[in-house]
Amino acid sequence: MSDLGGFSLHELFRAEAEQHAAALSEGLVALESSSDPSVVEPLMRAAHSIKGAARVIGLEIAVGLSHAMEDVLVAMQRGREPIASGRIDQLLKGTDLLASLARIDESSVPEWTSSHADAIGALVDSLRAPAPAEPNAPVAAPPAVSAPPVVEAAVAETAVVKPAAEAAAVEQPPARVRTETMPTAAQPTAARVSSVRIESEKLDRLLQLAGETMLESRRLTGVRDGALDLKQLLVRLGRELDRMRAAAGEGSAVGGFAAQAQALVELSRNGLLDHVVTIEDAIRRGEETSTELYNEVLASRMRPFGDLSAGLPRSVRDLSRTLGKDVRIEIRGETVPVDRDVLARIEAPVNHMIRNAIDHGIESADERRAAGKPAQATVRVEARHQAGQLRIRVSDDGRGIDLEGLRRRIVQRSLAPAEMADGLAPDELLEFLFLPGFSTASRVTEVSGRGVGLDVVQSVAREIGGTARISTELGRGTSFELVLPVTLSVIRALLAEIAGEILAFPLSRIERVVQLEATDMQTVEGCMQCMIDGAAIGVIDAAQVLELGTAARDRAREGTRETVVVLGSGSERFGLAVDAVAGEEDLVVRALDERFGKVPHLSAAALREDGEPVLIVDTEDMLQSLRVQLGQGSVQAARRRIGPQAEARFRALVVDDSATVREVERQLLVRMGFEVVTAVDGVDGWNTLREGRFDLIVSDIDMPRMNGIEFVRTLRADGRFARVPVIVVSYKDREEDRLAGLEAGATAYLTKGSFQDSSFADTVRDLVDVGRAGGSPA
Amino acid sequence: MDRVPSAEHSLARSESMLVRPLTREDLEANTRLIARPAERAAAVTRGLLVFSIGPELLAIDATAMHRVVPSTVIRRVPHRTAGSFLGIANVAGELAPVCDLRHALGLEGDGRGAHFVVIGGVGARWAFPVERVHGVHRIDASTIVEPPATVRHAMNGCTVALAPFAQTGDTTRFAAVLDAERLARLFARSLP
Repeated sequence: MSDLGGFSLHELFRAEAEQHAAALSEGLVALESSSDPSVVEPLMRAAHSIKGAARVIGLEIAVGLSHAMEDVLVAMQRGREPIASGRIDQLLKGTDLLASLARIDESSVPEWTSSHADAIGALVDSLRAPAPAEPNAPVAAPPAVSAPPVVEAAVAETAVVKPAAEAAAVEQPPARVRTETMPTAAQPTAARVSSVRIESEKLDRLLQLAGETMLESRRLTGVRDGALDLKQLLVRLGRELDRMRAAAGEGSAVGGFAAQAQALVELSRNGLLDHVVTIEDAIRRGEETSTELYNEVLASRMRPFGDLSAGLPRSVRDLSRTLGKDVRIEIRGETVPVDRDVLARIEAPVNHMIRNAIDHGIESADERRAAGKPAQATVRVEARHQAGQLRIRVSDDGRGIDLEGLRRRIVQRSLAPAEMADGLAPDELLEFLFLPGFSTASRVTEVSGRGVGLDVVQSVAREIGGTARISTELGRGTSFELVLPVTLSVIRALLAEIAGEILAFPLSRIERVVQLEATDMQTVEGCMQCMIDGAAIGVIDAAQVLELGTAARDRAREGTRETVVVLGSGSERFGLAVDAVAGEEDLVVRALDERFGKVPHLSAAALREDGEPVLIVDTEDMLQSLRVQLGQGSVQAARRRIGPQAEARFRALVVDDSATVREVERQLLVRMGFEVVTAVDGVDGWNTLREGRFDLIVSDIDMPRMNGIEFVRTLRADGRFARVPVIVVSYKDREEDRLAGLEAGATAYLTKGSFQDSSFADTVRDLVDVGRAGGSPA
Repeated sequence: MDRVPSAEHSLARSESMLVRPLTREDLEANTRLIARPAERAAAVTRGLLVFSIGPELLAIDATAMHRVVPSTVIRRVPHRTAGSFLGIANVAGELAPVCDLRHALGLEGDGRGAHFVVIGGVGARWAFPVERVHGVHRIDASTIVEPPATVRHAMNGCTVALAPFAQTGDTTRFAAVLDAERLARLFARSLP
C-alpha cells in the first residue's frame, strides 16, 4: 500500500510539499507587496494541499502547521485579518519548515520531528494568536523600513514584461517553451502543478533511444530499396515471358502458360508497388514522429529562467530586512529557456551575486539620500539570449567599487608586488575579486559568509564553458555578468577528418578554417607555419597531437591544399592541420565513458545524425598543448634545447588558474635562476609535465578541471615524478587543507601571503639546490 | 529430451497419485527431490552464446550477454590507441567501448568482425567484434568439462570450461567457454 509504481507515498508527499511550499514562498512575498486579498486564494489552496498530503501519510506535525497557516490565510482572504509583514514573516517561517520537511527522506522524519517539535509548536501558537502589532523590527531599524513594501511587486511587474518585444529582441525561443510562461502574481501556483520529476539519467536514456528510433526508421529505406530492386527483376521477368510468348507462337500451349505467368507477374508487380508506397509512408511517418520525439525529449531539458528567479524576491526580501536595507528586485527574462543543467549549476552563483550586491554594493538609505539617490535601491536580474549565448546579469545601483581602494588592498594582502599592482588596468583589478577569500568589504558579514566567495561564481561559469565579468562605476553601481552556453546538451560543431577518424570542434571555439596551398606553408626550425592576415601562425598536425598516427599523410608528395583549423584569438592563434572538413552538425553532447579517465584534448562524445560516434575536441586543452608545443618550437626542438649538451638550467612548472599569481610566481622563480613553464590548471599541468623534465613544481589547489590535490596525486602515482619536489601555494590556510595537500604528496604547503616575505624563496632554496650548476639527472 | 515426461504421462501419474495414498517410497523420492540444491536443478542445461573468431570456437554464458548487434563504425579515441582497445561504437544508441577479443586473449589475427557481442551492465558495457555468431545453445551441463591447463593459460586465464558444440563423425568440437567478468577485467586493463 505504501508503494505506487516505484514511488513511496512519502516520496509523493515530498514532491507535493516541495511544489506547494515553493508556490507559497513566492506568493507570500507577492502578497506582502501588493496587499491584494485576491492573491490569497491560491496560497490557501497550497496550504490546504500540503495539509491533505501530510494527513495521508499521518504526519501530524505537518498537518497541524499547515492547518494553522491555512486558517490565517482564510482570515486574510475574508478581510478579517490585515496583510501585515509580521504575519507574512510567520507564514514564511512555516513555509520554510514545510519545505525543509520535504527535503528529508522517510527514515529521517522521526528525528526531524522531535528536533523541530518545539519550534513548530511555538509557531502554531503564534499563528493562532492575534497578529503581531507591528512588523518585526529589523536589526538597525532605518527609517525606510517602517514603510513595509520592502520588495516591490517584482513578480507581477516582470511577468508582464512584454514577452513579444523581448522575444523580438533576442533569439526566438522555441514555441513550446514560450507557452510555459511563468505564473503571474495573481495565480502563483497554477502553472507549476502539472510537472513530474524525472531522473536526468532517465532523460538521457530517453534521448538515446529517441535518437536510435530516428536511425531505425531511416534504416527502413533499405527495405524499400530492396523492394524496388525486386520490382526491377519482375519487369525483366515480364520481358522474358514476352519473348517466350513470341517464340512459342500465338495459340500454342506454352504461349498460353507464358501469358498466364505474365498476368501473375503483373499482379506481383502491382502488389509490390503498393508495398513500396506503404513502406515509404511508414518511413515518412516514422521519421516525422521520431524526429519530433527526439526534439521533444531534447526540449524537455530546457526550463524557463523563471524556475530559478521565482525564489529570488523571497531571498531579497529576507536579506534586505535582515540588513535593514530597502531593496526592490526587478527580474527580466523569466521566459527565457535555459538548459536544466545550466539552470541547476547557476542557482548558487546567481544567489551569491545578489547577496553580494545587497550586502556590499548597496548603501544604507541615509547614504543613498546623501548621494542624491532614491532611498530604495534596485537590484536587477536579467536573463537573455544573445548571439547564441545565455547572458545573466545582476546589477545594482549601489556605491560601485573603488578601484584605487582595491589596488591598495591587493598590495596589502600580498597578492601582487606594488609595482605590478600599479600597472593593472581596471579589468585586471576587478579580476582579483574572483580570487578565493578576497572580499571588498572590510568586515566579514554573516550574510555574504566567509567560505563562499565570488571565486565560486567564476569557477562555475568556467566549468560550464562560460565566463564571468564585473563592471562598475563608482557611485553608480556594479554589475556582474555571466556569459554561458544556452545548453550543455547540444553544440554546433565543425566535423574534421583526422587520420581516418572524425572529430568535432565546437564551432564557437574555432576562430576560422582556412584552405591553403602547400606553397603557403613553410617550415621554420622544424615548425610548420602559415600566413594568415599577414601574421605567421604556427601549425601542427592534428593526427600527431592526438596520437592518431601520421601514416595516411605525406605532405611533401601530396603537394595539395592544406586544411587548417585556427584556434585561439588575437596574437595567440594556432593552426591545426586536418585532412579535410566533413561539414557542420548539431551534436547532442554525451559525457565520455568514465573508464577512459581524463583523455587529453577531448571533452565529450556524441552520435552523428547517421548514428556514427564522434568525439568532441576540448579546444581549451588543445590550445594549451599547441601553446606548449609551438610556443617553444616543435616538441623535438624543445627536447633538443634541454638535452645534455645544452646549458642545463633548473626548470620549474607553475600551475595556477590565476594569471596574476602565475606571473608573480614566474617572476620570483626566474629571479632565482629557473627556467619557468606555466600551466593554467591541473589537466594542463599534467599534460605539460609529461612533455619534459622539471626540477620543481609549484601548484595551486583550487583550479577548474583538475584541482591541485588531484594533480599532485596523479603525478605522484607516476614513477617518473615520484621524487620531484612539489610546493603547493594556496589561499586556504586551515590546518586540514594543509594536511590534505601534504597527504596528496606535496613536499611543502604555503599560503599566498608567502610571496611578500621570503618564505616562498626559502622553501624553494631548501628543496632545490639552486646554487649547484646543472640540472638534476631526470 | 527423453528425461522430460510427456504431458499424458504426467497427467496419468498425477491422477493415480490423487486416487491412492502416497507410498513411503513416493514420499522419500519427493523429499529427495525437494531437498536437492536449487542450483543443481538449474544447471541441468546451460545456455551458451557460441561464436567464432577465425578458427576459434568460443562461448560465453547467455546470461552474461547484453545483446548481439551488427557491427558498426568503430571510432578510435585519441591517446587511447594502444592495446586491445579499438575505440567506441554506437550500440543501440549507447556509446560503448569496443575491444579486440583476439588481442585480449593473445590470439592471432585482427579484431574486426560482422557482429558485436555486448557484455556488462549499464555504465560497464564492453563490445567485442566476432566473425560468426552461432546462436544461443542449451548444452547439457554434465557434458561441460574443465579446460586442460594448456588452454587455461593460453587464453589469458579467461577460459573456464569446454563445452561440446558439434559432432563430426567421432570427433567432437568443443567451444571454449569464457568467463565474461574476467573478460571485462581484461578489457578494462587494456585502457591505458
